[in-house]
Amino acid sequence: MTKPEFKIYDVTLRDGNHALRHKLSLTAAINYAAKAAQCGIDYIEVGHGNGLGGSSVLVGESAHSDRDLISAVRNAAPSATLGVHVMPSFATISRDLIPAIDLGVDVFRVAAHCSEADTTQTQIEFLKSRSVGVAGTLMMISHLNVAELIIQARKMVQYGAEAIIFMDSTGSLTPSDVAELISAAVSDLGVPIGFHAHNNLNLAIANSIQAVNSGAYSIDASICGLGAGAGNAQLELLVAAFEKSKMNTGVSVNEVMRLSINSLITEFIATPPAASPYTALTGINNLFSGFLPIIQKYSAAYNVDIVELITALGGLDLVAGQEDQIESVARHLPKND
Amino acid sequence: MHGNSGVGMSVNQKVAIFGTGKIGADLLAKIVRSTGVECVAFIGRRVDSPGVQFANSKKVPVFFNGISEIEKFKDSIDWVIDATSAKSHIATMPRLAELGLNVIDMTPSGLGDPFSPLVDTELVSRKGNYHVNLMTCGAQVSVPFVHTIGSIAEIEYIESIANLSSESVGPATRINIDEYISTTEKALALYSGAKRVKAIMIINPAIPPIPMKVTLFARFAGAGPSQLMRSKIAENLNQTLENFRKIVPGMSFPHAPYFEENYLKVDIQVMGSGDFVPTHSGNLDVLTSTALWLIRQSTKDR
Repeated sequence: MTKPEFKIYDVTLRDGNHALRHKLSLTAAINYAAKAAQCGIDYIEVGHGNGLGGSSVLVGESAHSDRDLISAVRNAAPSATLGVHVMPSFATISRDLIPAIDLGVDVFRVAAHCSEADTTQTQIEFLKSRSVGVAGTLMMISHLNVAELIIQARKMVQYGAEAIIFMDSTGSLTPSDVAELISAAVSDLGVPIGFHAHNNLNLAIANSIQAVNSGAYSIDASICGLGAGAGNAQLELLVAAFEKSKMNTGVSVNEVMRLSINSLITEFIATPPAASPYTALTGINNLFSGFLPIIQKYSAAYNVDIVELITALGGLDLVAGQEDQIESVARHLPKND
Repeated sequence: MHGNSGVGMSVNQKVAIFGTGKIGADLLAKIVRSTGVECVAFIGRRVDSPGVQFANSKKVPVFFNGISEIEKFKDSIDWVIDATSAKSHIATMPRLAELGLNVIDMTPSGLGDPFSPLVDTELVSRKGNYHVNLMTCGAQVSVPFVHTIGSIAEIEYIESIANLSSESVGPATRINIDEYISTTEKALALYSGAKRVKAIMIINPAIPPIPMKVTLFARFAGAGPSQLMRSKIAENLNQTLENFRKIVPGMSFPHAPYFEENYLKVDIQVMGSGDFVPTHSGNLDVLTSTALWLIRQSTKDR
């Protein structure tokens, strides 16, 4: 096979952890990482859904520490590029980044809400000085227009980010939105561009293909779509779609289908995520996909209309990590009859 | 360390403020409308900063030569408030200590005595030789409440989430989020007795800006405290809020603290008094209100 011009980044063991309420088991992580590497998947990300230091009452407590998850995957897939997601809201250099470097993490994707890129400066500069791979990640990108996103991304490039990942954390974008953003980013930023889809509107595959056609270098995907809310681009389907278009992903189609079939029957993916009226509503209201289980919980607990609750939350411009606001809003809505 | 200087003999407390950013200017605005406290020097770097313009409009003496200004009239200053940066405070502090001035550090430098007004009552009654550190905004809001809970029941884990409006989080804080988290976590452990702690800072860019809010989750061992202890905790938290409101009147519980499984959740909203910074910047107001309260408190009952 020819060398791929783009790469599929596997976020099953990180974003997928949202779908597992952050309870990913070490056994599942080890089995999955070893098999994924055998399929030709080079980049494997692992950790709490909110990244290093994410384990909390606020967004969910991990079944296993970052240290244990990273060590397990590092050993299971020694030749893979091992990545982690980092949000300065949750992770610090001394408590989280240094131990992760010592455990052999190769790539750190330092993430901020799309308008707050300057919160990543300290950590990007630190990681750059430690000679590990460092990417800047803008999350919740549906909250800004393309010109504003480029300004934020430029800051991360200035701090030393070697790539920029755009995360449609709310699953709100359409293929034409993706084309506009990725084309602008590729021509402006001078570093490899990545795209991370969520499937709220059933557009994750279409958006990911569009991102590659617009010049993206890396596409985030997860097996069975395992990810927050409606999930991510479904990795095995994405590989098949690229194969049909004669675009080389470096991943074996048959092997990745086996991986998916086996993952489905193990305990670790009980119910694959799917687009639904609820994910469509959070998508068009620009709400973080990971909010949905909590929205459902408090809609039931306070007996309030879920459409009203999602719409009310959509008016607040919430960022990922404001899960605590959901309960407060639900509490004050009128009760169902 | 601080010489023998107590708080000055005159009832009118004379204050010098280092740092003319939002926090320094908000403290100045509070001092200007207070009796018994006077700002004799507002010390900054930029002639055209909004804080300096505000000071000029209030006829407050403004200086630009750093600590050398203080040395000129050290005998007529009772308090130095440092609202610059942790780095700057660490550089300045040895000289301030030599001059024997009372110091309130509003930076997360980690120097000085951690200070929470409702808990550190022996510091309040010391009436001199102060070098106190206000830790962080999240710690200032959290500490009296986690201390209240920890005094009644053994806390296994405590988590403090500060929700801040993007508008209220300045450039210095943005590059020091690590320091915010580690300083806040130290304070949570110190004042609550919890074995494990976590601090999280969330910055929200919504317009209009959100008011500062802190959410606390406390988890207890086993099934958690008895019904009797839960009532006691609820009662004492309300009392703590009432006491805190004497310092920060805009502080409130949007809803009563409540238990869920073996967690206690406490939501605290902090509206500032809108002196120099807007009312939603409760994260800045809690620091400036606490500093002014300490200065005024130190002159009482003499």
